[in-house]
Amino acid sequence: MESNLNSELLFETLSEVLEDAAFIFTEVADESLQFNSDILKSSIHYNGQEDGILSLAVDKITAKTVAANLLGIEPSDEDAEEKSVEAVSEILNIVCGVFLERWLGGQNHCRLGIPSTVSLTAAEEMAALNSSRCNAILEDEEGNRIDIFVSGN
Amino acid sequence: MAYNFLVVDDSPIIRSVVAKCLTMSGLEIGDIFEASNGRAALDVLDDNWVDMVFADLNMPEMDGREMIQEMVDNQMIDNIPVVVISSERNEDVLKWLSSVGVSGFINKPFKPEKMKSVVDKLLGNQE
Repeated sequence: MESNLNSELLFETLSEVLEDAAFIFTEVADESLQFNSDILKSSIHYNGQEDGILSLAVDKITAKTVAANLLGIEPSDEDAEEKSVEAVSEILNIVCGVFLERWLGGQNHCRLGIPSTVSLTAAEEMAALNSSRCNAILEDEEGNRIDIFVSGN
Repeated sequence: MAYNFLVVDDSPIIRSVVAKCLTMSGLEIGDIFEASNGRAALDVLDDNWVDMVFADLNMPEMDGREMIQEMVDNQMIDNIPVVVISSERNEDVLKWLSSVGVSGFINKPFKPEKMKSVVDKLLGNQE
């Protein structure tokens, strides 16, 4: 079923994927919520009937939790820190597939690129978020902020 | 009978998750080989007996589509079942995968039960 591109769609998609794949439970957050540590932003390009970029920004604490939960290890494990960048990329990859299906319908013709992840300051992340086409701000049970946004056409 | 699997994904984290799901599935597992792209996967297939391949589509160097095409064109390995595990739900891709005889498609995120049911179906372990 096709939907309109809106914050609720982004929130619901990310929230469900985080819950199903990484056992992280989230709710809508106020935009005044700050990131608790350095930020990792992963972006993936999609193109086809729509062309744009979906981005996910989390702090490094959350990235470590995502990696640990995907791998079934403790966040304090060395592997969790080592794989945190990759874990954020993978979650975004999954989110993007679900998001496009919900937004454009089950018969969409979009192809996904390969996610890339960079470190950002809070100011850089705010600038990216503010120039986005649509965004949603979430927080996990520990109060860590998670941003998701669409940019491009 | 123990089965050998090949997991092809550029993400080591996903390779680990797939391997873990296979281990938890209750199947008798021989070796679980891993490859980070299609080219590396074809090298593994050249040197080892593999009963089933799990492959991502979007990978650097050689993607899943090219790898599957090379498998289809090679009589030595064209009968190995390939299950695609991908986030991509592009209708055109799904049609192509079906046209080249890909055995199964699993959307990410997936649960171990889903993987087991696909493996059981393809390897004839249905109870």
